[in-house]
Amino acid sequence: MTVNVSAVVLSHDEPVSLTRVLDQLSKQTISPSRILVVDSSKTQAAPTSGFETLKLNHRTSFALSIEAAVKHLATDGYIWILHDDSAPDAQALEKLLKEIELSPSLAVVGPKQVDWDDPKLIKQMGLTLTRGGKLFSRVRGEFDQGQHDHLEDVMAVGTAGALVNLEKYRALGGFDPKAPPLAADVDFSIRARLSGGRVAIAPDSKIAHQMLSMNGKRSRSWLGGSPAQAIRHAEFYLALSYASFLGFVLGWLSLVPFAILNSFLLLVRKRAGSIPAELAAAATTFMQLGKILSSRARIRRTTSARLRSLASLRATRQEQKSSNQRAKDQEVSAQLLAAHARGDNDEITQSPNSGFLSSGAIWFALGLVALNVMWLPTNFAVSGSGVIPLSSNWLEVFGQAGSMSQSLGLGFVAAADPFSWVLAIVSAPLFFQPSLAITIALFLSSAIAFTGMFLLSGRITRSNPLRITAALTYALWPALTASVTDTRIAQVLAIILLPYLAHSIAKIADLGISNPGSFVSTWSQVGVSGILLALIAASSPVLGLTLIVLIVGLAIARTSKLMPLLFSTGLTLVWFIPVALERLNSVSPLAILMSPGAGSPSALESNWTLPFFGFGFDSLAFGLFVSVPVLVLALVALLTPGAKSALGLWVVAIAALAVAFVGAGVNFTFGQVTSVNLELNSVLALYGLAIIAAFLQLSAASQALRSIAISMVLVLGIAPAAFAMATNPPTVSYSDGRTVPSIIQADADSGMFVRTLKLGAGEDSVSAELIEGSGVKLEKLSTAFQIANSGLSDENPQYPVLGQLVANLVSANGADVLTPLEEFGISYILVFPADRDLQMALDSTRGLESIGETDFGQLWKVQSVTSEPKVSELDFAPTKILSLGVLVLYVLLALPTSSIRKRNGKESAIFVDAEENN
Amino acid sequence: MIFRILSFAFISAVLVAGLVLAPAVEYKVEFDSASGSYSVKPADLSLVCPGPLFRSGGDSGTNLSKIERSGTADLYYTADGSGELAQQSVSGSDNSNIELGGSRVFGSSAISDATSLTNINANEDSAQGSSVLTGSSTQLSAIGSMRGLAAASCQQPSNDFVIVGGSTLAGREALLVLTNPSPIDATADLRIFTDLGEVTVSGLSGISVPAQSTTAVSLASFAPTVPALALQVQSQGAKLAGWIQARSVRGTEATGVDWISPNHQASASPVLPGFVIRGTRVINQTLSSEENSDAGHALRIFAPEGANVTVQIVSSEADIFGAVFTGIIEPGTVSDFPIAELKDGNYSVFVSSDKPVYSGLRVARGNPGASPRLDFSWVSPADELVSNRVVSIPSEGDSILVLANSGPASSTVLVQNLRSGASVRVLVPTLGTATVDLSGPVSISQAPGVFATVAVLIEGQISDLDVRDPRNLGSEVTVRFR
Repeated sequence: MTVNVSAVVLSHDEPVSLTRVLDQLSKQTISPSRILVVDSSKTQAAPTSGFETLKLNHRTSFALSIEAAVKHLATDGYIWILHDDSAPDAQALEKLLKEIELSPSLAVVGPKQVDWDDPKLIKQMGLTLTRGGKLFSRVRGEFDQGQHDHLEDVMAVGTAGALVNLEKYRALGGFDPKAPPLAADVDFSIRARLSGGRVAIAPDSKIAHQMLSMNGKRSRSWLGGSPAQAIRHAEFYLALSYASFLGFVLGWLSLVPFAILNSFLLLVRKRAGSIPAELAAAATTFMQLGKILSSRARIRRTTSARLRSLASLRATRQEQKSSNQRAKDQEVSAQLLAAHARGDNDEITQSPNSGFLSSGAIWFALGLVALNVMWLPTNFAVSGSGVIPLSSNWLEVFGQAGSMSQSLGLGFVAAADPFSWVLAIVSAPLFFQPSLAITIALFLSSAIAFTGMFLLSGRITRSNPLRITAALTYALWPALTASVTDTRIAQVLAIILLPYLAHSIAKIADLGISNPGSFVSTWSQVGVSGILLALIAASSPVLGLTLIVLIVGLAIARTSKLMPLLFSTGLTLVWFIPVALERLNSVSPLAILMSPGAGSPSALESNWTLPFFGFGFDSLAFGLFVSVPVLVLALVALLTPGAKSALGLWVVAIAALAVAFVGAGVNFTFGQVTSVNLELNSVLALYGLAIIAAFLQLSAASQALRSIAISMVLVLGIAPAAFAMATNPPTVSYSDGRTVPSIIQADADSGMFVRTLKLGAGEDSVSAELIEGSGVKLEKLSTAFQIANSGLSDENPQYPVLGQLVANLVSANGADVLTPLEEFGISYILVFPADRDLQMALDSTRGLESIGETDFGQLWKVQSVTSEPKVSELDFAPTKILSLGVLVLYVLLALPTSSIRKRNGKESAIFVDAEENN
Repeated sequence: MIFRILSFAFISAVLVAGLVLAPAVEYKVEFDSASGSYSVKPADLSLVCPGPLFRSGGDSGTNLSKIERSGTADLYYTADGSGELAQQSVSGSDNSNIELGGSRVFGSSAISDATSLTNINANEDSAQGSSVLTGSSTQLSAIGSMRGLAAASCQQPSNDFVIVGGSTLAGREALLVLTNPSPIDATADLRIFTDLGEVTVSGLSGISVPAQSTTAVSLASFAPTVPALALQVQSQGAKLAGWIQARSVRGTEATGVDWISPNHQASASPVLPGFVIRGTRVINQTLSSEENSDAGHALRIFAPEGANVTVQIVSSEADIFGAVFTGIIEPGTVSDFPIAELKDGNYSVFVSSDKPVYSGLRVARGNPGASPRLDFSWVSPADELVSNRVVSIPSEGDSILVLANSGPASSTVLVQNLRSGASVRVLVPTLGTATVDLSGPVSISQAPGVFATVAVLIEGQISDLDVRDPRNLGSEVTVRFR
């Protein structure tokens, strides 16, 4: 059979590969009758001497380039389209022509596309669409063992090496010049199919394809964006072009919302890198309404058949599933190879005892728990100077998170502390008894901190003695032990979560030793670190701010991880938006940094004792000793081979110390009555974490130095600290979680609205506190109330009435108190601490019935006030919905990836490599 | 290596420089405290007068569960202010209101129950005190088992007071009389102290004093045969007015009765004027019998924390020396210091203690021509005259105002009869005493350092009236919202 074949080589700024293409072209066993090089290069001249060349403008699209070539050739028969990165096998054309010979109805026949460097690796064998309209290649990245040589009919073929029947080409009006670059070939094939032609693969014909466009190695203008964007653009374009009219209208209108929704799904599927492409492609397609209408008209001109008639050529679900699995296997293999290349496997064999159990670290963790035996929990709810019980109903704890309606005092509108999210999250696993979660967290805090530090230390050293020493040091670091002693649960939570966050951030930024065998994606770690950072920042805003600054600094230093690192701060920012907006507008911005929860942070002095927690030579505070040897050894680490890492850690330590130094001078005063310091223990925990990590750099030092260092820390630091911890238990009490007398609790439990006026006698004043329901619980404490109630008492006219009521009550002057008590709905009056004068005053007040002494003070019932059923509803403010939504997003992002990390969300595996490289 | 050394030097230098040389930052973020100051209107001034004496045992004197009022008492009062004066029998059976605002009101009536005097609807800014309202009741009892004069100033109710006096030895009776004038029920808890310390028996707490009623309890049921009593009353619910009704019977002869009023407060230097001694010969005759050892004068001191006391008795006559003695009281105990060998006359007692003490002075009155031959009076420590006082005096008998000056300089006191307007200036020497005979309600001028008690002598019997200045304080209360 003799056919006229004209080869058209498209050249675009790739002279090196073009040389190989032209060289291979000249070696064909059946030579084309003409070879035309269509050169649209912008910068580099194509080495086309000896070849017929058609020079075009560098902006000329693929479709117009082919059209120009066809016109230039002015011939019949077939054109063989070659790209400047697709070099044909010597027999490529011969095998293609053989297919033509066997099936003259072929409109387009394509070769088997193999790897540019490895001809045994198949890159592509035809294209199709999934049922979801995504581009799909049935074969991708497989070794060629002839296993796919049975494939013939396909929906479409790529244009690299495709042999196109010119008669059909002209009948179809050529490639669609309006279509995006990656849609043009598929569109042409489909139109050829729909108009009765065949589109097939000639498996014996091979072409080495470098896929420069898909690998992002051509200028972005060639594809009109990134490869991933070009693919999505092509998919959207094809979907709208071939849709029914109704489908087209609805599809076009819902394009952007769909892309936004899909972006969330991509985020959840740890494919956040694809989001910009998704959104950009949708926006671009949306703007190309005219082009799409033009393409639809072109399709209608050439065929009346519908795309659904090609349903049998679409990719099946099984094919997609298999392709996803193969992609996953390939990724795992690639990571294993990378780990092997880094020598990680060697280290595994060298240090088999790196696990928490196998290293024996668990015994030290249990030992730390044993040190707390003197304050073993005896009931559900722990109470102390810095902790009070949570509500017994988890829904109430959750209801407070992100709420804008506060029930403290006479009620007011203000954003709840982000710490209420922490409480809701921490107590969620024990929703049936939320306070128990707090009790357990406080009791096991040192063991949890130990475990976290042990985990983190694994990224610095494989030496188990060093890791255990470091973990013990952090668990007994004065920042944590002092916070536990003060029972300041917010600080404790921030400090014990800190090493886990550091570990997660280190993984994202690829700092330290990576853990072989763990293929948790970066975006999973972003989810984990986002949640941890939010929990820590909400528990200790000062530490949160410090960490955000450090993370942003790290992101700038590690630009390759910029997006994941910045994204890890997202949840924190969302949680703090309501509080930040309120305080930036109304009060001192520094009020954002006030410590949430109960109790008042202890004061520290800005002097040389700061890194030693106020340690003095006259002090017998054994627990503070540990800070001295660790500091010295962390400085010594700067002289060891690990100096570079130690220096980075010292920068973090000094930054934390500087924040603490400045913060120690900040004081919030509330009139002459109370003053509150900034909470700095957690910042000093960050300082401790950094210098302990710097201390771990001694792993690179000599064995002798390591031994001396461990001995020093154990003897001078850990032993005294452990002794102090065991012998100075915090002052805590355990209860069933009630914070009000049983009678009030019973009313509240039965769904009644109960309001209690709590009075306390001060030196020169009477304190008055209105309590709703079952009392003030930990989640209801609010820094907003602390800083706003002076304003509230000025603005809310009910406060002066309440004040006068209290004054009359405590004076027992016979003034009418029942009317205001009834108006406020105050059912009970509680006096705490017990005060004889207040008791006598209330005893002598008509209408008050003395109930007597209770666990929570002296109690009186207001006889004329009867409790009414309470109408309770969850406050779903927009800020709460936003915070909750973003939290869910991060949780989904953080979920273990083994089950979710399938490529079931990305049916098209055609250009996966290209996408991930972006 | 150079990098390491430089790193070490740099970090060390930054640490040292930062921690040692950097100036401390001071930054205060100030918020207003959520507090407010509120004016509190004083409660209406209300006084409670004890009413008639109680007779226990019924007509036969043997029915121990029967305690009932005996006869009527004479109520004297005077008021001057705004609003109305409400005189109300505690049980609510007898009420009357008198408009105030014009000239001073004087009144007297026979009462058969404890009676409250209340200044109601007074102007919010009007003052309170004895010049606005004061009253006293007297009763001369002459029934077989109870003879003598019992007088008491009307008292401002309280939640916590201490009464020193009384005995439960054979022939002696001590009834605790608690009156609750308010519409709120009250329960009283008692602590009884004797010469041996605090009595711990059941039934001392939760003594019910229903609203608008009087409860009388025999202290002998808690502390029998006790020579020296002191007790603390703490009430829950309404405030109470309280007295001990002390009665003495020697053989078959009733030898006196009196109301013992509460101490105002514990003091390290209580002063007890009103030591008016009459009939010393009869007293000494009675004292000669061993069972009548308590028939004479005695100073009783209750020292909650223990005390070393020095007692000085000063006469109004410059040529009479008086007496001085010292004593030690164990913590929580009550001690009697008998006072003998003083001639008839008017005296005051100055106590100096190293610890705050409560005290009472038992003053005996002998009268050979009267029945009973002996009567007694329990004098409570007086208040310092830091403000003008008005005292209501019974119209009959002799009343003597006894002034005592514990100050460092002599002081002059203006005493004016409120009915006649006649006045007299009395010089009270330092650590001395002076007296003024009274014939009706008087005002006593303010005199810091000076203390006053009125001794009432009627028909050869004796009693006394406290000179107090009852008032409820209006105030500013600072309320801090939390």
